[in-house]
Amino acid sequence: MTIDKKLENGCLTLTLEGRLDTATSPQLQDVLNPAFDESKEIILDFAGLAYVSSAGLRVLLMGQKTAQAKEVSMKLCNVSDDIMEVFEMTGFSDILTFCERRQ
Amino acid sequence: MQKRWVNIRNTFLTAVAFFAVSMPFRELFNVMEVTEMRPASALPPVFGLMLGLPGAVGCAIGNLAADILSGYGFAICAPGFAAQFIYGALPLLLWNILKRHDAEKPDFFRLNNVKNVIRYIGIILVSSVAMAAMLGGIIQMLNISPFFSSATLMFFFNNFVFSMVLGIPLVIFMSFQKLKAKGSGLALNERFVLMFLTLGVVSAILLGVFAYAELSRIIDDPLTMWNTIYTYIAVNIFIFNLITVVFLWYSEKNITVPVELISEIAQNYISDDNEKESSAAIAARCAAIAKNTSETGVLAEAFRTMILDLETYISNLMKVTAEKERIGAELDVATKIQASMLPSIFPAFPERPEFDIYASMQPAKEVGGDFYDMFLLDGNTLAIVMADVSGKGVPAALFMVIAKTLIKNNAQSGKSPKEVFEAVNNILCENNDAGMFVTAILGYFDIPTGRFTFVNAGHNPPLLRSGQNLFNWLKTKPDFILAGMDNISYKQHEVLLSPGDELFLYTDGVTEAVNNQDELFSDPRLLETANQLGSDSQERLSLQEFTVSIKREIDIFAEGAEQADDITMLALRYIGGTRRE
Repeated sequence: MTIDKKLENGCLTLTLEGRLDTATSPQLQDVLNPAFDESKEIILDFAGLAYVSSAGLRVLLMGQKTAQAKEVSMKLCNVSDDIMEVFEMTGFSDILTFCERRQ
Repeated sequence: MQKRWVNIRNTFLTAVAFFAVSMPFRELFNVMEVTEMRPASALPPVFGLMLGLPGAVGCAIGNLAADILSGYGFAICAPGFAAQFIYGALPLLLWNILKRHDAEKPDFFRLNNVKNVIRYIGIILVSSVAMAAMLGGIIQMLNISPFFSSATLMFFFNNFVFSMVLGIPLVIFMSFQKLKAKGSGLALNERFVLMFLTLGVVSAILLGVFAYAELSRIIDDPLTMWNTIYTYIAVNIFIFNLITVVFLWYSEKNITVPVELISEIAQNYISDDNEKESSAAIAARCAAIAKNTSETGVLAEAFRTMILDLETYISNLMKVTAEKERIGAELDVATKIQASMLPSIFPAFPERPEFDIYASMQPAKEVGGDFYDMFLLDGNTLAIVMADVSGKGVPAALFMVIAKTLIKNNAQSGKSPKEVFEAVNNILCENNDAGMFVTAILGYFDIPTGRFTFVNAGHNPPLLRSGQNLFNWLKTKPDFILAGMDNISYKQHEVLLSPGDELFLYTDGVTEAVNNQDELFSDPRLLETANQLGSDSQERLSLQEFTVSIKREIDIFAEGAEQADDITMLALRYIGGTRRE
């Protein structure tokens, strides 16, 4: 999985590509943890993401909790239908914030 | 006994050799009344050095025989014999004195290093002077020529030049033969020495031949001519040997001897299976060579570092391996403990004919994060649990034990499924720094009525087959996972099962099994597989056959790809009727 980091007008966009699973989720955690101190607005672009495993969900959950604690807005965009199904099935769709698809 | 025969044989052979080399030159290159150009003069010191006293005696005998055959009188023959013997024995004596200083006493004379080359030159010089003095004395006594004359110089040159020019190849040849007999060969440094010495010999011979060709036409007196030729050769030998000794001394110190030592150390090190020599000792030997500032010093230092690194690495590896074995043994026990925590004896409730139930779990690693449970709450209610802890391995297994215990304890305290999950969720959320979570389904099955009341905390939807129909998803909007956030409220759902209905619960290890093309087994494939199983036979498959068949289909799909997640399945069939009394 590759993570592309871009800071624009105080908004940090992380573009994820590949599979977010046991092997790759620590990668996201390593990028996400310091990000909460860098920016007040974080957008995770899931357009290039093919799969999210439970390990990936764990990182997103911890990210969401940290975001709330640090009062940072964390949003997911361009979530594919397959991944949205996982979010819905696990109830994650209720706690995560999604934003409009962007080009 | 045998040694004596060898000595007699050597004496005889050297006598013959000396005679054979000596005779032709007496006729062809006679210089003056009592001497000639004598290549045979190379033989006594060499045979003395290489063969010991038999060599010296043999040469003296050979000379005596040649003297007698040449018609010399007793006055020449007798002192000649004595002088020839001393000429052969003196080098041996000198060599035996010199070699006392060597740390390693060699068996026989070898030109294997600069020290021995210098010794050889010294020995030959002393012996040649002594011989010349003796012969000079003899000819003065016999009134042939005064002691201080060019004849005495001729004697000296005869011995010195030939011992240097012909003696060296002979020593090389004989020591090589001895080494071959012992099964070894020339050392690297020895080869270097021999190569240079051979070059010197070849140049001396060439010079001698050209000088003879030129001078024999110009100078009539053979004594003057030969002394001139000998002087040329002696000067040539001196210069060449000086350069050789300096060069060899340098290469010996910086190249050949260190390379020999390093290769010997390396050879010992790799063949040293019994650890006769410790790495520290080898490193110390390398360190001695590494003091050298040349490339060989660098090589020795590199080898030393490598050996020490290897030692550290091996000891680390042993520690890690031992640790791994220990962990492996503990994991084995953990696997057994975990397996024993899940109900695994089927039929699980033989006294209840109203339903049938079967479940299985195959962990991806030694221990897994998936679990299932089934237990009767009271005479009429069966509780079933299907759950999946995020992650795999030991962390997941530890969390699984807590979750499973909490769910069962709370369910047995009389709470509804919704209340159980709400309570368990809050307890799990406490001190959950690792951010673990659980997706789970808890259902209460009311046996007399067939009513199934369940809560779903983010888990895969169950499959339900009503009557003779096909399986269908029991879709409800799932609630949030357990241990994710506290104070979540869960919604309870109900479905009514009729006799013959089947319920299938599983974890995402089933639907997310991957093949070598990274494709998922997926929900549609599970649904299709479940519906196909047993469709062509009149009899329905037993629940065990059903789950085993699904696992087999997953394995076929996976094409040998490694199982990435725990695979857990639970099947329930409602049979109905009444409890056996």
